[in-house]
Amino acid sequence: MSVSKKLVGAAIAAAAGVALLAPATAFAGTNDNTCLSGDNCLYFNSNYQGAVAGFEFAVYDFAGYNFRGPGNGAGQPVKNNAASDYNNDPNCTVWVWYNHGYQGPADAIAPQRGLPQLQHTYNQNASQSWTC
Amino acid sequence: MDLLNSSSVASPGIPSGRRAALAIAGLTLLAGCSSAPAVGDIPTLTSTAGIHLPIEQYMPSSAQAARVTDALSTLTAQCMHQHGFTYPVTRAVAGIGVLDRRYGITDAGNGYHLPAGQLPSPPPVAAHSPAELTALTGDSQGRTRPGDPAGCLGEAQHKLDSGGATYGTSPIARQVDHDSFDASKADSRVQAVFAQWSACMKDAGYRADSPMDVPPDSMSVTTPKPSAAELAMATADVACKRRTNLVGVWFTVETAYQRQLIDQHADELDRARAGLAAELKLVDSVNGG
Repeated sequence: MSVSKKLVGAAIAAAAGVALLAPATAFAGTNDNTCLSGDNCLYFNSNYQGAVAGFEFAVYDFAGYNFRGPGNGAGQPVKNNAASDYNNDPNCTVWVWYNHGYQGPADAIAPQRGLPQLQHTYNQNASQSWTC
Repeated sequence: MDLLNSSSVASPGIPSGRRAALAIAGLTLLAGCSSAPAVGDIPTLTSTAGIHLPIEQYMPSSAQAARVTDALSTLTAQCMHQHGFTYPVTRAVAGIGVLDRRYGITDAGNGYHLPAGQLPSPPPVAAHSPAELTALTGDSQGRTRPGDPAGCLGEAQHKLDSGGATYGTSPIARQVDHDSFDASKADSRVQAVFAQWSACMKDAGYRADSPMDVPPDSMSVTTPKPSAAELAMATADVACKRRTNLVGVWFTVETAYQRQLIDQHADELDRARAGLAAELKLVDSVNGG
């Protein structure tokens, strides 16, 4: 996902029209690096260390969200930047995807389970979806 | 982001090219001395429905994962009941499989949107009193320190991850699943089919180096229905995949890498399979068969 993506032709105009759909908030997470019940929590560092970003909804594209402090990575972008993940939802499996738009390989994480180091999406986390 | 376990090092300024180089170095460490495996006849595949990667026999299927989630819910509810609280038992639906959208979309009917039923966010966590939250999570505000689950949820998770049973997918199965993907993506035979697909896309008016590059970052699919532009791109993408047999080539090459990796990690994977079998037995007893 580090390859730049470009469009040609008429699609540019169409894409520009939807680029305004930025996330409502640039920050997501707790102020003490814990993970709230119901959230999928991405961490800047391995082993659930560093700054955190928690999302209880599906995220088509992590672009625009930043990690929340304290700690390593506070204020850094979430997209393609997470090292570990804890799914703190009691009922739903989360898929963290390699590409935005829920594509490519994904790390599936069961409810109340974590990955101390993301596998497919280590520094390559682009989107997340749920199955409940 | 951290760099391959060196969790104390912040590295916000590393250019993406350098990051890719570091990732390749990490892959080499994990995968050992794999060489490009030979493949036989390459089947023509227009989708990944009904086919399986070898590593899937070491992982819970989406239907099995749903049964495990059901058991977590049942055990949590039993524990909450013991604490004097009611707690709804939920039943999970089977989710996405390992191969679903792995090589990108293979059906353009819904654009790049997920099929119906796969996108919903979890229902909001029910409003619990501080006492309920404490029983459920060990914290009156529901805050959890990952790796140290507490409360009824922690207890339920622990029950499903002990006595030889493994809760969720084992680390070794995840590792093989990942290493085969990266190795196959970099393989010359897959790179060649990427080039054919890219040329086909160019003829349709799109520039993209590989199916991992579409849809572009600038295209949002958060709308309830796919846009005309999204549908047009998805249609070209799927047509080009079919014309170049991209799915057939990638799947066949990745399967060969997985077989190689499975041979290299046979003992660990046998233990993972035993952990999964024990888990499914445990889950059946919890769910009542």
